Amino acid sequence: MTAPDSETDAAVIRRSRHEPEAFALLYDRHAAAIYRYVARRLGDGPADDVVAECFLAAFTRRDRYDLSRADARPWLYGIAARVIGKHRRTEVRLLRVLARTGADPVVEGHADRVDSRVTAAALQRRLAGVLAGLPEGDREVLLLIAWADLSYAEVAAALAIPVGTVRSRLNRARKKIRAALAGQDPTLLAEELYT
Amino acid sequence: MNDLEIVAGLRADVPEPPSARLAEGRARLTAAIRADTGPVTPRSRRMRLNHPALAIGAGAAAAATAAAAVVLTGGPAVPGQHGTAGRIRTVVTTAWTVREDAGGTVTIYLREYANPSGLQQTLLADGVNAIVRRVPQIRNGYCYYATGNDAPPAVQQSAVTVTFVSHDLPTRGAEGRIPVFIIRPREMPPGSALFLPFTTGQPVVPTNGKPQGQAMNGHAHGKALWPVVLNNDTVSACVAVVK
Repeated sequence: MTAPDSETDAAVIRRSRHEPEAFALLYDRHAAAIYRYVARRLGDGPADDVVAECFLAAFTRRDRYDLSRADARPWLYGIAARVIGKHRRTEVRLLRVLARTGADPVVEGHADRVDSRVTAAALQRRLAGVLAGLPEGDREVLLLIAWADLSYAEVAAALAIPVGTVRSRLNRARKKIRAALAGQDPTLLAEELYT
Repeated sequence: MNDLEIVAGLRADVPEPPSARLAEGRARLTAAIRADTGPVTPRSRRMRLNHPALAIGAGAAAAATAAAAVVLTGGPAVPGQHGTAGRIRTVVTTAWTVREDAGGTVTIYLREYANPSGLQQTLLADGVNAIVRRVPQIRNGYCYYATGNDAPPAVQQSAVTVTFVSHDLPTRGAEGRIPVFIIRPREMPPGSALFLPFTTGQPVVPTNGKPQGQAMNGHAHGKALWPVVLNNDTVSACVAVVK
């Protein structure tokens, strides 16, 4: 009998179709990362419920999971993206607060720097403004790559879109970011990030 | 450092949750799994969707006061339908029934325009990004929803089918013909939402084959209370129209 830890995610999902509680193993493996991703986008407040909704939605859809995909991370992030999308206004509002005031409600309480309440570096404020203004699909692709560390193919699988669309959305988002950050002195940039 | 790395650095201070919080989340999930797959037991004064695992925001509070629901999983094909295979899950309330089949199609049998929040939560759990909302009552008129955010007609046709049935799933409910909304979530584009307007709580009584009420879907006069696929989850305020 295969030990639980050596089972692929697909094997766990297949097993959970007959042993439903086995699905919790998927939670053990991925909830922490999904939670962090959700919290970065929406803040701590909604994260518990959003993550709960994600995993329950995944559980109810496990019959439809493509068992040829050993790693369930893209699938779970895809579900998370959909749930996060329902909180789009919250996400944009938090980004706009950061852009406008320099104070990030998402980070406050987590940063261990003494200067956590000091106005964020100008480039982060500018970046937040760009992120808030991106089309939802572009922002989703960008953050799945930058924050969830998914590959292009994994993002494509997560969002059920072609890899070409992933590339074009990412390029579009990066173009806007580069334009917003244009003119920053590289040395100054480093100081702003690491001070 | 390139732009992508700069994005990666934004909010990098946000940590993973503490283990106690993860343990709570796991307990919620496990409890919900057990509730979903345990023996069928009518729950007095609680709906399946009021389970702590699904206590999400204000919707949960509304669902908590709703009528009891019964969740059926697996089992035989529903009456009147033959040859269905695979797992079937059904949520049955006095006002409506939602059935999800193994292919992902979600069918809504609507007997009363009641408990919109419960229906919304049920549909969300079944993978339908749904907005079920009561519409304002307009004296001697109706509330008109603009169609500017409607998905194209091809999407409406592929994602939603409206029909009527003359018998119902095994639950107490109105006899006679009731509207049935067949939803295919896979045909709904990413980011889209299904808007289902609810009128007051009267029983749904088809007139000339169409349910009537005070909420009118603006994109086709007379197609009252049809579910509509929106391009996104923005539902504009309806405009009062007095006859």
